[in-house]
Amino acid sequence: MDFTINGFLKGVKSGFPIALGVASYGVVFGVLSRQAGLDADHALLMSAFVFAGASQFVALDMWLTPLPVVTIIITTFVVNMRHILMGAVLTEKFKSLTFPQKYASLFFLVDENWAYSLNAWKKGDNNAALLLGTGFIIFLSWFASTAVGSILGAGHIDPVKWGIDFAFTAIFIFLAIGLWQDKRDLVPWAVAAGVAVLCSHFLPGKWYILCGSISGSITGVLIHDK
Amino acid sequence: MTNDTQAIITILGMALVTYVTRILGFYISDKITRMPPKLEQALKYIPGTIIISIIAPQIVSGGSVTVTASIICTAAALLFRNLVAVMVTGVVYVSILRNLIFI
Repeated sequence: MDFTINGFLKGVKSGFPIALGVASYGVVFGVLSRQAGLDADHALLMSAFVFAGASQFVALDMWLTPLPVVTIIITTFVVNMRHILMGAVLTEKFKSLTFPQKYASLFFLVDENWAYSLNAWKKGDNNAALLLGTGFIIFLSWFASTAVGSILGAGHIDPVKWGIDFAFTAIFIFLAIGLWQDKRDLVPWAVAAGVAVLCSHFLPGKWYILCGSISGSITGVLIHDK
Repeated sequence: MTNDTQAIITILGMALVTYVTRILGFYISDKITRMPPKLEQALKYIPGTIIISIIAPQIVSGGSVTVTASIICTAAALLFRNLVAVMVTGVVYVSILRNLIFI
């Protein structure tokens, strides 16, 4: 595998349509961040340094007073655990890269450029900088669209009356459908839902997310992956 | 001021653990040949079950409005395959019900 400026620029160029899609998502994040009570600079700080959509939406949902700092950080880790597997897949492709090339590229690892790059490499592209290039244009788009959304969302409205609180649920329904693999997901998802609803009544804060997810996943392994 | 400091600590903590998830699998599989199969299988279920765990209590606690809204959003997601379309559908439906019927 090569790692060249041309590969990077090719990534920037071919990542443009993906970046536009990400921008619509970023505007939504910016608007909702204001509804959740985040200042614009905090929303931008989050988009620049965390740069992981689903976990940022989850954090907004948990952005209460007093701020559950540790719970948000742990939940962020769990929501982003899929990156662990995604990164593992890249090991072979990144073998010949230098240390900074590897670990800078991994900062820009998101679902979209990961899937895109694996696809391009499978079709014969030989440039490892493709992931960094597509990741970089997605990053710029995510940051700029967060700023736009944050400005748009600054007005005062009653979020519950206008159904804004349901926007999170709608986003996650959309994401869940995208994550559905096959009918083997049915029982693990049902267990996760049941345990989460139960735990939300008995446990403080947002621990029900971890309880539901872990019990659902263990159920999946126990019944399907003997 | 305390709130501001807490927010920045939270965001930097999120950034740190997120970067750890991005490099961890890469780093480990760079060192070892194979991940324990059970762990790999469990991780496969994590993304979906996390999202379900987030929304299930929200949907249930919102009563018939959010339950029906969720069914409509599922249909909209399968139909449009577009995040913004699904979100607008759900928000408009919920706000209409809350403004016209349940208030």
